[in-house]
Amino acid sequence: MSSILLQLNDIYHDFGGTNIAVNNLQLSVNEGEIIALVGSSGCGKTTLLKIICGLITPDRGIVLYREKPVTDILPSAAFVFQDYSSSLMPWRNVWSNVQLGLENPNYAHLDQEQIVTDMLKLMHLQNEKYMMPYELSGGMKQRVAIARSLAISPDILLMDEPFGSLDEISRARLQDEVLAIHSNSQPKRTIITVTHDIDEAVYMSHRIVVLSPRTSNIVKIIDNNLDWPRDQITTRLTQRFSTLRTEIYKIMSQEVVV
Amino acid sequence: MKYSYSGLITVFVFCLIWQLLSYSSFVKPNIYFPPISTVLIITVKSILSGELLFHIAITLYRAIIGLVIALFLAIPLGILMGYYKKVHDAGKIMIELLRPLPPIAMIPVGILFLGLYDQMKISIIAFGCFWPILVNTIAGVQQISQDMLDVAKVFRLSRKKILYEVVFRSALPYILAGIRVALSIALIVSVAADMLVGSDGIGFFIVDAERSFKFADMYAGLVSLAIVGHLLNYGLEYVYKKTNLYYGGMST
Repeated sequence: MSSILLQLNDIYHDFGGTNIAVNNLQLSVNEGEIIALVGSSGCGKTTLLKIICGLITPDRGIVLYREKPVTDILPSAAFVFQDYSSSLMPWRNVWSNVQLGLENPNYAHLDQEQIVTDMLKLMHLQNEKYMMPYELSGGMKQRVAIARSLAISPDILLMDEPFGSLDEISRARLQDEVLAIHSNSQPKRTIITVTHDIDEAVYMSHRIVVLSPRTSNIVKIIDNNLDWPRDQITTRLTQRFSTLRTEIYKIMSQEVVV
Repeated sequence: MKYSYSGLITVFVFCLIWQLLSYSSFVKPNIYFPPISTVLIITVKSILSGELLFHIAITLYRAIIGLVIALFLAIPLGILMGYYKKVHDAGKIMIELLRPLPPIAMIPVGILFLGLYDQMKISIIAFGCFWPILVNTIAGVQQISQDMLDVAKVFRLSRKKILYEVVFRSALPYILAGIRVALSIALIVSVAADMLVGSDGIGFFIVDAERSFKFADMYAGLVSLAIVGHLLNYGLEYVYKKTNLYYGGMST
C-alpha cells in the first residue's frame, strides 16, 4: 500500500517571463492514495496535473512513475477535465464517448462492449447510453467523463476541479461515488484531485497538499486523519473535519495577497 | 424555416406591384417589362416542356461537381494548415494573394488551357468554391478547444484518428458555414460562365432569351434561378441546424 507510485522532483515550469506556474515542487504520492491539491484559482494546479500525466513537459525537474521518468503521455493515467462540456465529443453518444479510450490499438484485445456496459452501470448511466452530450445535465456529463476515464482502468486518476461547476447535491453525490470506486477497486486506484473547495479537499483525501497562490509550490502537506468511510453528513459534523478545514483556511488566507 | 403569413403577403404585394407597373406606363418600352402573370405562366410552361429544367440541371450539375472537387481539395488542406503551424506559415501569403481574385476573372485563363466546355467551367467553379471552404476549415481547426486536443492525447488516439475524427468533426460547423458561402459562389460562377461561353445552362437561357427579344422567358429564367437558389439554401440550412444542435453545448 505504501509503495511510492509517483515522485515529483524539483518541478519548475513557467509560461515565459514572470508567469511562473510551478516552482520547485517536491511531492511523492503513494500507491492507492487520494491526494487533494488545494489552492486558489490561477495558481497553476491544472499545469501541475498536466505535467504529471505528461501533457506538458516541465522546464526543469522530473516526474518519476514507478521510478521511471515520464517522458511522454503516461499510459496508466486518466484525466478528468474541469470543463466537461468541451471534453466530451459532441458528435458521439454517451456509449461511444465512454468507449473512446478503448479505441487505442493497445486495448484491441479487451471486451469493449462489456467494459463500457460495466462503466455505465458503475456511473449510473445505463438509461442514458444512447443520449447525446447536449441532452445531458452538467452532472451527467461529468459522470460520462469519469466513466470514460475509468474504462481504460488507469492506475492513477487525475481530476482537475471535476465538480467545480456542479450544483451542491450533484457534487456531493459524485464525491461519494468517486470514493466508492476508490474503496471498491482492487488494487486501490491512486487519485489526485485538484480543487479550490477546502471542504471537498478535506472530505475526499488521505493527504491534502496546500499550494500557494499564483505559483504552485507547496505551503504545507496535511495528513488527513478522518475515519473511512466518509459520510456527507456525519463526517462533516466531526470536530476533526472542522479543525482540518480551519487549518487549511488559515494557511490559505494568510498566503493570499489581495 | 417556416413561411410566415406576413412573409407570403410581402411576396404577393411584390408581385402585385410588378403586375401594376407593367400595365402602367412608368416603364418604357413596355415590352421590356412583361406582367408577372405572363412570366409565371412561361416559367411553368418551360419547366413542363423540359427546356428550362434541362438548362437548370446543366448549370446545377457544373456547380455541384465544382463544389465537390473544391471540398475534396480544400478540407484536407485546411485541416493540415489549421493543425500544423508550419504548413499554415508556408501557405498563408499565397492564399491571401489568390483568394481575392474573382473566379470569373479566371475564365480567360481557363479557356486558354481547358477550352470552352465543362472542364473549364467546372474548374473555375472549383477555384471559386475552394477559398471560402479552405479559410473556414482553417478557422474551424484553430478554434478547437485545448481540452478536446488534450483528451485525444491523454487517451493516446492515433494521429490519423485525431485528424480525422477530433479535428475534422470539431471543425465541422465552420466547414459547413464555408460550404454555404461556396454554394452561392458556385451558382454565381456557373451562371456567369454560361453567359460568357457555350450554348447551354440557365445563364445561356437568360442571355439567349434577352437577345431574341423573348423578355418574358428571360424573367422566367431569373424566377427559376431564384427558386433553385432558395431550395438549395433551404436544404443546407436544415443540415446546418441539425449539426449545430449537437455542437450547441460546445460554445463555452
